[in-house]
Amino acid sequence: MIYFDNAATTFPKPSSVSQAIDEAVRIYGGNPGRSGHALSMKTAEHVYQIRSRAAKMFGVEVEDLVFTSNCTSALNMAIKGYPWKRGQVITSNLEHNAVSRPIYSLARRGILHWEIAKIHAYSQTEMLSSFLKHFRKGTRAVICTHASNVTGEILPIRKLAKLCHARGAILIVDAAQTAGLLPISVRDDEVDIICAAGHKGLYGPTGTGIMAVAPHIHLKTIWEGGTGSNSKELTQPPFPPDRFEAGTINTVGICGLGAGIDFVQKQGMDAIYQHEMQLSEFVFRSLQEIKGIKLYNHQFASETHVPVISFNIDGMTSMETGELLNRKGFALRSGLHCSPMAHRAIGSIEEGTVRFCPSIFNTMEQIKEFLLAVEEIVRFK
Amino acid sequence: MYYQQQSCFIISLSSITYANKAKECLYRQGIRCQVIRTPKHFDGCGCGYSIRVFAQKEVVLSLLQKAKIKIVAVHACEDE
Repeated sequence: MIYFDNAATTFPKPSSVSQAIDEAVRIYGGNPGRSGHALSMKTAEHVYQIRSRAAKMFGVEVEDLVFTSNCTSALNMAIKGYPWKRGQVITSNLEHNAVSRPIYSLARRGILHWEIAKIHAYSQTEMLSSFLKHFRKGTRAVICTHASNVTGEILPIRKLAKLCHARGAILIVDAAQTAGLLPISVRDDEVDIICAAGHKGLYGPTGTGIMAVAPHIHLKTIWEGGTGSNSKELTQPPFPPDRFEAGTINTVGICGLGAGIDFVQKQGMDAIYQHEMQLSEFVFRSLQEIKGIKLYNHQFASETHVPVISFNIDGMTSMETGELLNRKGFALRSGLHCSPMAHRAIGSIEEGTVRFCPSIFNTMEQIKEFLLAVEEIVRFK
Repeated sequence: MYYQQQSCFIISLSSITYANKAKECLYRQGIRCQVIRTPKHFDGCGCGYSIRVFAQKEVVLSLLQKAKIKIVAVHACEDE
């Protein structure tokens, strides 16, 4: 099986990640932050070191880096935990359900008004103008993806942060598709909250995610429980990360995530991005030349896109194409990719798309095999 | 003179993360310490974390304050 479904979760994982997970089960077996015995302390120190490296990557102090179970849980904690005053939030029209569903849930209860800025097929300057049009008195936040998981379009996060702060709003970013691929930092980009998956571009195991929070943001909790601190109190501790990490943390997953982060830093984010973009640009150009293929990326280029390509074969649903590719030994995701807003924007809400996304482990030979398989399907459909 | 100013003391911190952060902060300045469970008679529940240090107290407290590590309490070591 040749795997091109890395936008859903990266596979394979680096061998160092498997080793770290194995080590976690065998060596770091104590419950961190719960006991005083040597095994618990050793595990806690190991988790601290990983938290520290992750915090450095996302530009926050170690305590402001919260481990979550995935990007969706981080986004729920951020969106539902922010102490909203009545007003509105703005999203792009390319959002994943991880952003749109929590916002819709608040909007339906009358807590927030939700505005959607059209950005698909826009330049980054046009994207900013589109967001700007929706700002008014009472705009509390922009909550948006860093890059679309359907079209690969990158949003100008740093400029968006400036635009928000100049108008008294905050910026919450869904970095599910970019963490580990493009640098993003609370400190350097002035983002208020970054939410990311641990199992995608950071090459950690599933069940891991992070939330990096600027120190001036004070979130409410959306669940409470044991933290190993302030245990006499019925209220959740006021300090992070304990405030947001109720219950035993996923030590095994975090150890794997730590190795994933180390892998990304060793390879270099830029080198990973260049490799994946080189493969993707070749795929994009080759698919453009095959008659009977419809591409949904209006264009595809470094700097403005991450390596995600959406396409369909004329006369076939995305599911049918995905299944035929599966039979030929290629793993690609088809359907709506949990982003109906994006599919409405690109005109594929009924049929969905087939999505191609490589990782650092894919090769040009695999790409050529894949393109031959697509050509065969087009020819014999 | 320098040696005379050193003493053993326990600094209680908010959580295990802050205890490890304090340990790392001091280690960078060449001061060794040990992360321990806060003794029950210090915090009333014995569920918090502290660092046990043998150093100049004022220097340690100043370093932790500079690193914005909130100190919950400072106690002398029982064996002192």
